[in-house]
Amino acid sequence: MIDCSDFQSFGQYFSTHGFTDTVTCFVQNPPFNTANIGNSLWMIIALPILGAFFCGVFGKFMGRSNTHLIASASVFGSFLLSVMVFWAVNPSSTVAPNPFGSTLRYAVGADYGTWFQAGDFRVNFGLLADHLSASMLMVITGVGFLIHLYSTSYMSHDKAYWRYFAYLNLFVAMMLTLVLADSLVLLFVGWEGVGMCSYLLIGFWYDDPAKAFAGRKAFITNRIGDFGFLVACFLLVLTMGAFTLQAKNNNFPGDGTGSSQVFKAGLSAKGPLSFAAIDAFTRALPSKADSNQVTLSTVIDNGPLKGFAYGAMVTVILLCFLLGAAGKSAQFPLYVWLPDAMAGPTPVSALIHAATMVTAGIYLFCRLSYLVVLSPTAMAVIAVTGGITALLAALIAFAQDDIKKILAYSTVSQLGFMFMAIGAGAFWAAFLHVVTHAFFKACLFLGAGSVMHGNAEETNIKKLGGLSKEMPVTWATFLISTLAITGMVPLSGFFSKDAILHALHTTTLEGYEHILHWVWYVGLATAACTAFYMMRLYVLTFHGTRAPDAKVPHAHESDWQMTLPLVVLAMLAIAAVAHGIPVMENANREGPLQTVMENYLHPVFQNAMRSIEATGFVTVEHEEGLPWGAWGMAWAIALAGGGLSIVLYRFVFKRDGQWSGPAEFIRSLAQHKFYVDELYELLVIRPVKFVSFIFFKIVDSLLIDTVAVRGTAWVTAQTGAALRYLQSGDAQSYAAIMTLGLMCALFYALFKVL
Amino acid sequence: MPSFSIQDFMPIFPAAILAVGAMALLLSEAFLVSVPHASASRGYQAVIGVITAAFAGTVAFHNAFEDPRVVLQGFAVLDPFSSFVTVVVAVTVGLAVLLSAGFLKHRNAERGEFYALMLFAAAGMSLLALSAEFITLFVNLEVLSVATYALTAYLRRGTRPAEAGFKYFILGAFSGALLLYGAALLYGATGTTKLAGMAEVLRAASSGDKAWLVYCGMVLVATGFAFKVAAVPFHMWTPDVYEGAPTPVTALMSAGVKAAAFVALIRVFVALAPGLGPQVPFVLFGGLALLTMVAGNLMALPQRNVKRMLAYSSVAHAGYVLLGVTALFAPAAGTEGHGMGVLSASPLLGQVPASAHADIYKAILFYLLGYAVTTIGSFGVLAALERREDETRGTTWDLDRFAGLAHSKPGWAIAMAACMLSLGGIPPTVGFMGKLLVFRAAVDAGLLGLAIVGVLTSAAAAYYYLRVVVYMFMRNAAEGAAVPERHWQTDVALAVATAGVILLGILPGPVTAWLTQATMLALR
Repeated sequence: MIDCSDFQSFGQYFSTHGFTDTVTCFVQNPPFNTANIGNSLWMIIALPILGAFFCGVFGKFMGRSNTHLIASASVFGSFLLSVMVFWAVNPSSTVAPNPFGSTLRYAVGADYGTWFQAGDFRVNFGLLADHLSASMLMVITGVGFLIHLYSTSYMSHDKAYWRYFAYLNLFVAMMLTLVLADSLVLLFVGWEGVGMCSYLLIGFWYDDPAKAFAGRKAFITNRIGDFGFLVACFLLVLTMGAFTLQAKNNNFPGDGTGSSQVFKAGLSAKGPLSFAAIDAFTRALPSKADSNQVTLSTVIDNGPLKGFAYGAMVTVILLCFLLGAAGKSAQFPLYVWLPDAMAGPTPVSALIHAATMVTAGIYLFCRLSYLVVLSPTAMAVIAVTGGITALLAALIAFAQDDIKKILAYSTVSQLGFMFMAIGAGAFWAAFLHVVTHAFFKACLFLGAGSVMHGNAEETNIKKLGGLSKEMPVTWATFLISTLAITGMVPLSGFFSKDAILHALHTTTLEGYEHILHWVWYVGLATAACTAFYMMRLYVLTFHGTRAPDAKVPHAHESDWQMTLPLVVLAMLAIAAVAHGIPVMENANREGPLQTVMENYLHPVFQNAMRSIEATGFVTVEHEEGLPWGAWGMAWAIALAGGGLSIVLYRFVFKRDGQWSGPAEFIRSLAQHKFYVDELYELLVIRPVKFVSFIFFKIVDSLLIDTVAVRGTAWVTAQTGAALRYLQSGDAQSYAAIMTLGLMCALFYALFKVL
Repeated sequence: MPSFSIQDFMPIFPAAILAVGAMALLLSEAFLVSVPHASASRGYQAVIGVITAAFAGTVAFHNAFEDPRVVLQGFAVLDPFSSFVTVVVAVTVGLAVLLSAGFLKHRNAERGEFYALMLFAAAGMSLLALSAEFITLFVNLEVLSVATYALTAYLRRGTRPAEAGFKYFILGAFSGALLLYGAALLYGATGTTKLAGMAEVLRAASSGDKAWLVYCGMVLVATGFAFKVAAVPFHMWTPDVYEGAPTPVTALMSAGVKAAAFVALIRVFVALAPGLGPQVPFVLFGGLALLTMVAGNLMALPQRNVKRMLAYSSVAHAGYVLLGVTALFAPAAGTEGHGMGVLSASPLLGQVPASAHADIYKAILFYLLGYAVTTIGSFGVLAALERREDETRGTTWDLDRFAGLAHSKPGWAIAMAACMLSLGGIPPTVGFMGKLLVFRAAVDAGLLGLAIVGVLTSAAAAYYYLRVVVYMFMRNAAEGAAVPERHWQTDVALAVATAGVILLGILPGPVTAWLTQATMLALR
């Protein structure tokens, strides 16, 4: 049997609860050879890239159906491979050799050798799939395939279908690169790649200037975040370089494998930006003061960072990463691009701007969990950022009337929840919410797309209504997803959101004792708001009478290509509940029961958890038994918010009702998104534009264009023209010039020699 | 009576084949043509020419795998260096014959003697590449020159061809005399005309009271070669002659003559160098390279006449090959090669590694091959576009002729674009690989200053090469512009040249691997 000393595996769980050994063996031993699966990881990325190539280059000639087939089939192929990887990542799979001496279990991977190298700095091209990335793989390729299928119908009237599917396939490939990367550098390739695809798809209908502008806004906002990401990477390299020189042998526990030689050898073999290296670095950097060790409070004594403490550098690095993650995952203050991103086709909003790309920031922090837990300051900032974002977005969502805008703000708000969980050190809860959110938010967006498709592209919920009869499948799936996002028992959203709130409630950060408590209140308020605006959206769209100014008198239900993904996603939104039920024993068979997701992700986060225990930065208050009280409260809050909304919009305001009095002021404020865009315009964009205008005039127009470029060209051309006068066409003068040349050469030779 | 074995004659087989083919063509004109002044019955002559070239090229390719050695009692050599150039010459002449077929038919001027002259010229090039003795070398140079003089003036319409032929002849005779005079002075100093063994005698002679004899001879010989390769300031004939000659002949001259002359130059000076101080050949060739690179490119810049532009470009490219030649004579670190501005040599590794010379030979030969293929392609498109009616007008080769070519003749436009990119040294073409190899060899030899000048000038050159591309792809053709005729021979030649330009640019490996042989040169 398999060694399960520190991990209660699925198989173990099943077998101890009376399942037969056959099931155990089937789950733990996939019916295929897992030995080489690590080396084949690249194929998961290669398939959609090939698909993108064929769709982009030959799509126009192949015709619509062939393009659909190739685009969907390539993602489905990736999905099948991802299932195999998901299956193959089990306790017996290890990545070998790990140059840092430790054994990396529950993972498959391959290092394809040096990617590039400059001096001591080296980056390997390596892929890695552990429980975290394997789950992401399933979500990306699974939801991605459903959205491809949906798009075949949704984009059936678009002329540039081949471009669309090429971008979509490329996006999937880039997202897979992001989650499969085993170093920050390769992750950054995927990070930029998804940003680029997002830009291309938001501005897909580029002949509409507003949509093209939305694409640019998304790209530029993301670039601000990417700047933070890059700075973080550079600082990390510097910090680790300083540590390599300064570290003492006591930093590396003397079990024969962890000496500093091993660390240095590992660094030169894998490069400092590989996750294995960062993991080894954080393990070697304890917090407790010990004169024979370099600790978090030790001051760096060499290199450009001389004079700063290691702990301070870790905090700065994490804050820079937070800037990057805030850009990609639409957190305050960089969230402004996501609502505008709804200019793209709706399936794109579902895939990129709800299910996958925007979770990249959460994925990054989960990946770097061992680094995150070293800085309570950074954790507090992350939690507060998440809290502000969640509440602000929820308030804005109150007053929006555009179905996609509401969903966009709700996405921003839910991403805020995930950041709160990261800040509380509950990485598994954040990730659980990533997964469940991917299902129900994709379903909601696709449902919104279906509603638009059936109502002549109408997006204003005030001009819809009464669709529950006309679009039964869309209605049913939309209802399920709405209930899931509002947090109704027994749907997945309840457990994931509650896991986050519970973690906020029970966790304390050293030095920031009350922060998480306040964030918890914010979370509760946001949960109530979520329930309110989501039910408002649902009620106005699907119930009541049809609005008099609707574009079409009767909506029609969409094709099976659109409804099938809706049904599958709605079922997943229900089934994902299985991840959130606390039924697993933890590693030591003591304490409260863990949820399935927490248990499953334990190997990924075990170093972070060990670090939490060692440093004492984060304390978690354990309760005995199941948290019935907390569950009840969360449920009651969701019920109250949702119920109030139903009462107000179904019975009090009806369709065209408006708030009046002082409430109208608040409403108008929220409707204008609290004037954040206008504030940025005034504070950032105008000054930058002014300075660039000055530089453009002086540096670009004058120095570069006039002096450097035209000047050089003018001088060169004049010299050439002058030389032409020598070319008189007269043979005698040619001979004379030759003779002159000969005389010079002879003179030089004789002068030199004699 | 010396005894020769069949082995001694191996190197001259390709030339012999070319000469036999040429004679067959001459005879065909007397016996096999029914109507003396119609081109209709002469289609087979180009085919004979191509088959002869292919046969000669195959034999030369076979020779390239022989061990390098001196044959015919020191009058000739058999080494990969000369065999490779013979292959290049064979390819060049084969493509030039194909281009001529369409060109001459269009002008109703197809004659056996034209192809015969081309093959004789090729035989001369092949023999020039393997000559290892000054008299032989001079005779072969004249074989090649006389054939090209005649070819230049072949089309007797208007004053231009006659003027070009006459200028070429006068100046060629002048430079030939200089070369011969230089050889005579060297003979006077050493008592021998064979390159083998001349170096030892030179070493004694160059430091004694005959030193002025040796150095004057050397400079004169170098001048003779500089004329043939069109190095500044001995290039003055180039634009006039290239412009006046029938375009396929220009292609042959700029590709084949140049390659053969460079090989002879390298053979002579590598053989003589051990007997001379390193300083003089280095400064001589370095100065020529510098002037040629700069002036060639600068003078090409304002040209709107594409044929003249390509003539100047041919001058500029000679400069890049000369940069490689200069690298061969780069003094080692610590010698008096420093402090000469652009011309100073400071090897990065302290000492020029022994392998550097092999790299330089490889770079030069690859550059010559790449330039030959590219120039055939570009003059080929020019020849295809030329119309008989315009011959006497000045605007025949104006840039406007290329406007809108991408629409009317996309195949030719792509071929021309590939050649222009290659001449400009832009990937993925053979010109880029050639420049890369030459510049790297120069940098390895420590010629940083010259390499930087080379890179800068080739950057400036991109302007006039890309201008042709811009005209072809981004300008519309003038109203009523005549559409040129097509001939299958031209299309085949252009297809082969373009394929060569791109394939050698993407996959230079097989050729460079072949060129990386330890003993390229029989006399060192």
